Amino acid sequence: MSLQVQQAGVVSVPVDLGRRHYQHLGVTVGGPMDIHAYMWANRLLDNAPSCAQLELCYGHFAAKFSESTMIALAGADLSATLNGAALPIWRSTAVQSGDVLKLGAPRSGLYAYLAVAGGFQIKSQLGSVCAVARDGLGGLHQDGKPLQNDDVVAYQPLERGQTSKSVPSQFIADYTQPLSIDLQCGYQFKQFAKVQQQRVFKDTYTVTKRINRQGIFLEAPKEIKYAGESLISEGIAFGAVQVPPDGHPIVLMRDGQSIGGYPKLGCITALGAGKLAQAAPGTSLHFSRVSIEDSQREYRQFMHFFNPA
Amino acid sequence: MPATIEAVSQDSLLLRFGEQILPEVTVDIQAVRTYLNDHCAAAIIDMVPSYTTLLVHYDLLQSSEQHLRDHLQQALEQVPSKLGTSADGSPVNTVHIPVCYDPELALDWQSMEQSCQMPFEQIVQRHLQKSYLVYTIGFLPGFAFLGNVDESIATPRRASPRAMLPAGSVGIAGTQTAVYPAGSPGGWNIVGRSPMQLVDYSLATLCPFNVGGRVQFSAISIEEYHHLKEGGA
Repeated sequence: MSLQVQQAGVVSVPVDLGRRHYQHLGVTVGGPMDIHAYMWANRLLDNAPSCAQLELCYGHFAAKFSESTMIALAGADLSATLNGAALPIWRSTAVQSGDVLKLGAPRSGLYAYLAVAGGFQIKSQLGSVCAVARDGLGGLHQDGKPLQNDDVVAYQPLERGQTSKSVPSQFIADYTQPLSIDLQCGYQFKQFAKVQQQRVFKDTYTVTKRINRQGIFLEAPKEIKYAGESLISEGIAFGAVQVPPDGHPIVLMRDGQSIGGYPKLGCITALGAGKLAQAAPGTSLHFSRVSIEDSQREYRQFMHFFNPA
Repeated sequence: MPATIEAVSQDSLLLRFGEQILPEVTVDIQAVRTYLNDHCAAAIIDMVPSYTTLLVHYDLLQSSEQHLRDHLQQALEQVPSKLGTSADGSPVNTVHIPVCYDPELALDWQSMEQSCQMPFEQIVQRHLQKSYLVYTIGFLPGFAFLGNVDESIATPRRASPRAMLPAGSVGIAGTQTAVYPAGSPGGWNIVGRSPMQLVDYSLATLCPFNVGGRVQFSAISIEEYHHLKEGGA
């Protein structure tokens, strides 16, 4: 049983919840750029949250299913079709042997998540299937590379049929809405001048073309100045908002480095990072301040919904 | 030992051990890490030690911030600081790394001669004369930041980084030295190359380095380099 990749797409990578316990050796954590869409794709198939999926960035992907199974597609609208007919996203669908899934151009959002019943069967490396090119780690061939044409991704046969399910409308993300990203102030936030601190929550930032799994470069209308001393490199948490000397923030995403020496305003929330990941270059956004306590509550609630204890 | 605890994100706490890079601080951070590994490993996903900090990434679904803070506080109270004492005495693991300093592989030998105002042979001698502490590991898997090199051979990073350095390249940046474990872009001044394979994902340990451990370089000839490289050092 396998998915035969005919057209590998822009950047298509296997993902799961990421690599734990190796960051002290400089190993990248990885994980889905948009945790919301990823969690729903597994949920639609009653998969465990850790079941491996394919993260398909920017579309232009085509693949053929060798055997019948159930699949789910969630996240970006990348003009998906099954055998030429429009394939709805945010729902699970039965596919038959020989069916061809195609993704075209993005309509809204950037990252779509393709899940299959039982999860894709990909050998994990250091506890995860996540492909990280910089580390030469993970992925289909354990070399960190994204999917290539003619790759074959295995899945298990479906033991019993499933009915098609869809995500309740209130949980379907709308990537065309104005973006407000929750920022937890921390790290060097207090060492920025008051006027700089205030500007962070007033100004409108723009997503630039420099975006990838490691980081998202934003353009500030006016540079954010850091007057503090140069820093000693320290551990960087997921979602950290770095301010390099040019004054334009960089948000560190799933493949962010483990340590660094730029001053940081704090970290955006995990769910905020998912929304930001889906923003195309040119999208404008605001930061809104959130307490760490509130973001903990939000994240716990989110994860418990998908993974009840 | 004295340190501050601050929350930096929904599931990360940062311990700060002062503002000064000192070998004793690295030893302290390692001692706290070991304590936490022994006492609350289940709640912790990752710990990232750096020069003066320890970032603790915990599992928000298994634990609470307060629970972690209690453990961190306890660690700071229980683990004695080496600051102000001589940090030597506790046996540390020393990793021996063969390096070929042949001009063919020492890409920056000329600019190093200029900036250090001494013959390259002397730079090499000074690079070899001491063992180095592993302050932190990052940038790439198994990229160990080692220090400190003798002040006379400390050299700032190159103005523009090279697009691709070969695996094994040994560089100097400021008072730090390191071996690039894999081919990578890089801005450090390259003084030699090691034939040693430093990262192996099939090993549980992944790489020979540990923060708090030490590294000693030894010089080999270009013939030995090629021999070891082919023989799978």
